[in-house]
Amino acid sequence: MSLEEKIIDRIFSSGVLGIKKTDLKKEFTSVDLDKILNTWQKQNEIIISKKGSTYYCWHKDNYFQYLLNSDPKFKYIFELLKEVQTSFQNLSVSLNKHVEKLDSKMILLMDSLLATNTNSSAFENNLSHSNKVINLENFKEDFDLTINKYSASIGWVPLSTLRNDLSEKYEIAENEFYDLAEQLVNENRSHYELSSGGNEGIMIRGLIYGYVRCL
Amino acid sequence: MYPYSLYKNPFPSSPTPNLGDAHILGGKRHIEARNSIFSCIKDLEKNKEVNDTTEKFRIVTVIQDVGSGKTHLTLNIKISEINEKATISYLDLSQIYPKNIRSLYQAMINGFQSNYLYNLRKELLYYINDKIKSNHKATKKIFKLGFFESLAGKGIDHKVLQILDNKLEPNLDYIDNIFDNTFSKTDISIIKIIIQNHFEDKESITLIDMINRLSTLSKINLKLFNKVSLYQFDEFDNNVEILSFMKAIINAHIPNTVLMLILTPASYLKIASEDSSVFDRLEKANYKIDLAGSNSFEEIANIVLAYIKFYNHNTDITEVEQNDLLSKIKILYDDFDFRNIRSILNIMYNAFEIAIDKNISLINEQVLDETLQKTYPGVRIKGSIMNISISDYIKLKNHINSNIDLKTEIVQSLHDLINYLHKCEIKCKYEDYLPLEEEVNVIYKDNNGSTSQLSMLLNESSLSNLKNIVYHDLEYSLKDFKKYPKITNRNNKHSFINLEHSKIVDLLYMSSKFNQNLHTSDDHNNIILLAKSINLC
Repeated sequence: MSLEEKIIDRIFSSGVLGIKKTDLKKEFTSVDLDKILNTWQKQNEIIISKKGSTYYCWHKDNYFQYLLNSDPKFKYIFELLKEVQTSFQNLSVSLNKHVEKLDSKMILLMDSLLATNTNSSAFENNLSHSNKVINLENFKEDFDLTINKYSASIGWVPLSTLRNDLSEKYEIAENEFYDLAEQLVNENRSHYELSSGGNEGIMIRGLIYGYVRCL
Repeated sequence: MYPYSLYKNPFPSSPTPNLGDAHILGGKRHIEARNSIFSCIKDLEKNKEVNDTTEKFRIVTVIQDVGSGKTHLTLNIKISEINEKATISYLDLSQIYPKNIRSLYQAMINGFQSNYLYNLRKELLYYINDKIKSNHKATKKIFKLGFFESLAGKGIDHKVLQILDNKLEPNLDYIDNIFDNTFSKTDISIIKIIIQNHFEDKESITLIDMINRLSTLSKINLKLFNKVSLYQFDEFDNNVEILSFMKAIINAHIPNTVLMLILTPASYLKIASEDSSVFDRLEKANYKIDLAGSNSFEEIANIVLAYIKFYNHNTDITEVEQNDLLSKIKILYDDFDFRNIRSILNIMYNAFEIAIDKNISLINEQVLDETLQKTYPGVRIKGSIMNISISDYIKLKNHINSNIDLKTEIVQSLHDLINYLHKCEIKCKYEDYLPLEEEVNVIYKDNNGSTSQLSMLLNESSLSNLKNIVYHDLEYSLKDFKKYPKITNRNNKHSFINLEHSKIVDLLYMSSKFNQNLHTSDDHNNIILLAKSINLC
C-alpha cells in the first residue's frame, strides 16, 4: 500500500466522526499533506470542514452521514427531497405506462393504415376469413351435440347450459352466443323449438325464451 | 255476416281458453296428443275389476311452452266423448291459494262436475236398493220405509229424494254386507260419509284420509259409473306442497286413475332441482305427450282453419280464400314474430270483429292493419325501424316479387337516402353512379369533404334468396341468411355493414314513400335512425 493509499484509508476509517487535519499531519510527516489533501478536495474525494475551531477531514462517503447526524436543517431538506423523488418516480412509472399504451395504439393504427392500402379483394378475403372463425354450420353441429349431451327425456335444455359450453369453446361473449343462437333457430325453424322461461335466452316479443330442443 | 260467410265469429275472445271454446280442436299434433290420452284412458277402462290393483294407475305429462294450446287440449278432453269412459276432474293450480295439501285435495274434488257428489250419493243409494230389493226387511230398515208409507204408495224413490234433500238420514248400519265383496272397510266408512253428505265437511283430515277418499272415489266411479277417474292438473309447477302431495298420490297408486299433469318445460326442469324424487317419478310417466311443433306455422294454420270450418257448414271456405288468409297469417308469424297459437287466435278474433263492422267479407290487409293497431299498437316488423304497416309490407313484398331488378332498387333507395341526408345537411349529395368497379354502387362526399364509396357485395344467389325471404313462400328457407347483401364503405375508413332483411325492407319502403311524396315529418327520425343503423351518418 502506498503512502497516499494509507492516508485515504486513514481518513475513510475515521468514519462519520472524521479526523483532525493536525492529527493527520502528525501521523504522516514525510509528505506534503496540505498539497495532497487540496488535490483530493478538488476531486471531491474528501471534504475538509471546520468542527468548532478545528479542521477535520472526512471521506466523501462518510461526510453525508455526518451532516445528517449533526445538521437538523440538512436532515429536513433531505427528507423533503426524498418525498419529491418518490413523487417523481411514481409519475415516471405512470408516464411510462401511458407511453407503452400509446406505442401499442400507434402499432394498431399503423396496421390499420397499412390495411387500408390493401385492395378490395384482400379486404373481402379478410372478412370471409373472420366469418369462418365462427362458421354457422360448425356452430350448429356443436349446438346440436350440446343439446343431445344435456337434454332430459323431454329433450328441452336451458340455453344457459349451452351458452356455458359453447361460449367457452368459441371464446365468445354471452350476447354473441345469443346472436348466433337466434340466427341458427331462425334459419332452422323446423329443426329447433324454443320455450319461454329462464333468466337468460333469446328475446322474442318481450319474452325470454330460455329453453331449446331439437325437433 | 262475418267473413267467409260465417254467422258468428269462430275464434275465442278470451286471453286463456275456457270450456265454452274448447269444443273445437284443430292441429295435427294437438289431435294426435288427444288420441294418445284417449287410448290411455281406454286401456285403463278395459279392466273393470275394482279389486284388481295391478297396472291401474297412470301418469300422463303434457309439457309444452305457454300459449301453445295445452290448456285448450285439456279442456277439450274434459268435454269430449271420453266422458263416457272417464270421470274427469280439472283443476287449475294457478287459481288455488294457499297451495297446501288440503286446498289441493279440495280442488280435486271440486274439479269434477258441480253435481258430482250429489249424483254419487244418488247412485250409491240406488245401488244399495238394487242389491237388497229382494230383501224387503233390509230395505225398509236402511231407507226407514214405514208400513203406512208403503200403503200410501211412497216407495224407495221417494226415500232417496228425501235422503238427497237431507230430510232423512238413512240407517247405514246394514250396508256393510252389501259392499263387502268389492270395497274395503275403509272404503265402506267413506261411502257412509258420502251418503250422509258429510264428505265435504270442513273437518280436518289427514293426508292418509285424503288418499283413502280419493281411492274410494275412484273405486266407486268404476263400480257405479263404469268409468276411470282422470285428474287434470293444469299449470303444474315446482311448488313444494304440490310436489309433496303429488308424490303421495303417485306412491299410493290410486286405483283406476289417470293423473294428467300439464306444465311448461321450464317448470318441468325446475322440478328436477326442487324434488328429484318426484322428477324421477314424472320421468317414468306412462304417457309423455309431446306437443313438439305445436307452435309451427303448419299447426297454427291448421287450427285457424279448423275454427273457420267448424262454423262454415254450408259454404266451405274456398282454397283461394284459404291460401290468401294463410299467407297473411304467415307474415304475422314470420315477420311480426307472433309465434304461438294464442296470439294468432287473438288477432283473428279481433280481425273478424273489425271485418263485420266494416262489412268486409274476408280478412284483407286493411282489416289486419286496423287489428294490429287496435290490439298490438306498438307492433312492427322484426328489426324494422320504419313503421311499416302490414298492408304496406304486403304491397312491398308483391312489388319485390314482380320481376323487378332488386339490386337496382336497393341502390336507388340508397341514393334516395343519401339525397335526403344531403337535404337535411347531414351528408353531402352523392356524386354520381360510377360503375368503376362492378361492386361500387354509390359514391358520396361526407361533411369532411372526403369521398366514400358504398359497395354492394351482392350476387345473384343472394338476390334470389332475398326474394324468397321477402316474398311470401310457405316453403322458404332462411338457410343462406348470412349471404344478405352487404354494404362496404371504403375510403380509408373501412366498415362492413350487414344489410339485413329488415333494413332492406326499410330502405325500399322509405324509397317508395319518397317516390310517392308520402313521407312526413314523423318519418324523419326513423330515416335518420335507419341511416345511422347502416353507418351512413
